[in-house]
Amino acid sequence: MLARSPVALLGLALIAAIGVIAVLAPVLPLPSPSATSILDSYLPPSAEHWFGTDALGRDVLSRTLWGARSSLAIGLGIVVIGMVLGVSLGLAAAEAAGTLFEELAMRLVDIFAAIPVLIWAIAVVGIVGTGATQIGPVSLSNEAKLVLLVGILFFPGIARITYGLALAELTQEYVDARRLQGTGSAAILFGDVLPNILSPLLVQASVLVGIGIIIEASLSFVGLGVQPPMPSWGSMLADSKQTVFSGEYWLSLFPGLAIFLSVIGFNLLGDGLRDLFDPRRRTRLPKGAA
Amino acid sequence: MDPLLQIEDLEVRFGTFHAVRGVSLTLARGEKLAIIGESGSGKSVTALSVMRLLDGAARTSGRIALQGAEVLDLPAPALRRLRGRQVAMVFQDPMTSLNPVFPVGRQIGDVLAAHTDLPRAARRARAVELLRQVGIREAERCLTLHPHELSGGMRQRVMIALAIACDPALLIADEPTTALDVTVQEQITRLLVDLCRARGIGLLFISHNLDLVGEFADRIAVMHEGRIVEIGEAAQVMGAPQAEYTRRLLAAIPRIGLPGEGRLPDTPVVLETRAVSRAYPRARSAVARLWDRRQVQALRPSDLQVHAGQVLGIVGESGSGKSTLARLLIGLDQPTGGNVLLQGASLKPRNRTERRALSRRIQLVFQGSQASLNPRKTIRRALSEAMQALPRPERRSPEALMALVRLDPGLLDRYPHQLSGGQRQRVGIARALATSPEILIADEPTSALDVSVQKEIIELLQSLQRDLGMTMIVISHDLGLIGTICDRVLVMRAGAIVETGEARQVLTHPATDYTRALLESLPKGLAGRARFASPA
Repeated sequence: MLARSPVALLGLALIAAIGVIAVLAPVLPLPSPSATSILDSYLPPSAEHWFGTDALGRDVLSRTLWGARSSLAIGLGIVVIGMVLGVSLGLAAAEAAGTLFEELAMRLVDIFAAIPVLIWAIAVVGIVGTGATQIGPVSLSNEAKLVLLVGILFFPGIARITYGLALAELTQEYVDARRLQGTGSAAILFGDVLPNILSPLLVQASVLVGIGIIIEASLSFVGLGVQPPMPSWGSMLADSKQTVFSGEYWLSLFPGLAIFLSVIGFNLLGDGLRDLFDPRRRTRLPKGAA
Repeated sequence: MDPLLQIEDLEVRFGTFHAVRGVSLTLARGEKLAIIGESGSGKSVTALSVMRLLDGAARTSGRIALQGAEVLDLPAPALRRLRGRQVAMVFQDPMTSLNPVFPVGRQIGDVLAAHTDLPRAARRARAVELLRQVGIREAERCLTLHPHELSGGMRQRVMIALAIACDPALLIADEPTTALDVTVQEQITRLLVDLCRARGIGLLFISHNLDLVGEFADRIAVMHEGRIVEIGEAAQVMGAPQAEYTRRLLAAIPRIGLPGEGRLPDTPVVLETRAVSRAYPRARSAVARLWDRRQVQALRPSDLQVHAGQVLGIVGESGSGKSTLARLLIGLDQPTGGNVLLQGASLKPRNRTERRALSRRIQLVFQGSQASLNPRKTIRRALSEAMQALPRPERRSPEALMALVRLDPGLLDRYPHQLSGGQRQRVGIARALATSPEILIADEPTSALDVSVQKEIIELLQSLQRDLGMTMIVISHDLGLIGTICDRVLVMRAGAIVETGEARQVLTHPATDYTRALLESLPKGLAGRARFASPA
């Protein structure tokens, strides 16, 4: 099916390439991303260090590839949390149409939608601090905290889309037929309604992963995201801010390019999927000829 | 004299789909020609080609001449002048063919501005005049209304006013009354015919309803699979059809049969309602309802009784409350007043166990449109799920259910979109019968189907009802269907039951004016020509 949309295919290829790199980073013949060597600091790109080295003599290629791991993991994690919360709440609200629960759920969505993501993340991470947090018996790493905190803010958009689509789908006759069989609400919502409204949700999700990657980079840039020594594109950019105008272009170019390519990959995939799923883009027959 | 419209060897292809295969026809000035066909016959595509309204995917060849102009070769500016001034079109659904955001007056004004050089004030006067001509009494007020504030019939009148605004020589009406109630259908058809007669407009009337066009058309063309299988004088096509297909179509039209003599046996009442009513709050949201307590009464307190083993027909036009009643009878919705009693006990299921128990006693057959089956599930899965309320040993195989509705079990692994409309509806019936219910409710079981398929489904329902000894309730706007299969009839209007009785009695000697009006507005084919013979 993807073959019909070159745009989606290009996006998918980009994401797949980055994904493969992220998975294979530990086995690739690369120097350790955290191995320092003061003597080798600020080396320009060469046969030995393809992307050059940074202030501590760490290999930028290795750090960029390892950075893909945290970027993708956090970007995807945020969206998974947002999807789970948003889809559940959206479906439940649609099923409860006309009740107080519907009203409360959708107003809750409005409240969360009004919170600016970055400011919220900076504020909350600022309060609970970076590094692992102990909540009772559970220890949350900084990355897990990020995924949870930002994921919560991703659910309103998904909840609204799910709610609108589900409201329309619930009026279909086959849903009534299922109710007449004595099937419970949850089985109807997840077994019948969700598969029929999944396409637009996947489009939204793939675009949101791109936004999630940018948020991770932004937070790491201000030091609240991925913590050293683990490399991240955002923190690499932050480290390179003194050298932007002094000639060591490779320090900012490669992580910046990595962010650019992965975000554009997810956006292209989203655009392509939307075109594929959009019934108006399929060849139509006029009424009467169907 | 040249004909008004001449079509020669028209061919239309969409990719590999050959929609129109060599259609030739002529239409004289002031003539009323009807094109009859089922879905996919190419009748609408033919009509749209005359306006060059097909989208870019269509490959068209042949010749269409309209008052001497070669329509298929016209450059865009000439085509725009042709549309509206020489040919105008009325579509099936006036809700979607009028722009919902502009008032009626502006939409008529726009058409006049595009095709005439009338000044603003004159355009308004002309709009009022047009609305009066299509029978809208409060024309001045109508100018300021938006489409959603008008009834379906009024919207179609506005569409017709738009179409005749620039005095076209040809009017194409594509199923103009299909979305309308039967009493409104008669008025709109009459309006179209009278207008065309008075102004000498040629009328190309596309329809699936032979009985309807038989009342007024000069000539009828019957289309099947992209070809005209028969064309001729209406009396000839309807009275002495030459083509096998035309004969089949004529035989398939559901007409009120002559119900057998003799009293219906007095069987016990299985399902009844006691002063059952349903009101909906006007405000949709729970919060808005805190201060807006207004209600819409969809069903006024109604009493009805369904006798075991009999078929009860519920007839009504849109908004009559018949679907609300159906949902209450089957427990999909709960009444706001009164009770529904199934063999004397309240129907309301309190939990899932009761819901499942109920599902084994009473089931529903839907319209049979695409929406009645989940598009993501195979037929096998849909039928298996329908049996989940049964204990395992009682479950039948999906193959057995398919055999019951006379469908090839080879279709079990297909998806709904791979079935024809008739096959889909048979699956819908099989699904409802999966739990061997005592009572079957069919809500508009044929309204989404072609005429020839309707007949098959009606016959299937009839034979199943007889063989399984089921009690059946058929809900429909179609008196022909009701008159064919029902023992008793209940007529509804505006949320209330206006008449009830044995079918024979109600359909031959109606007690109320409304039922009489319903029966009279039913299209009657050639027999109905008298009422169109002269202007009203």
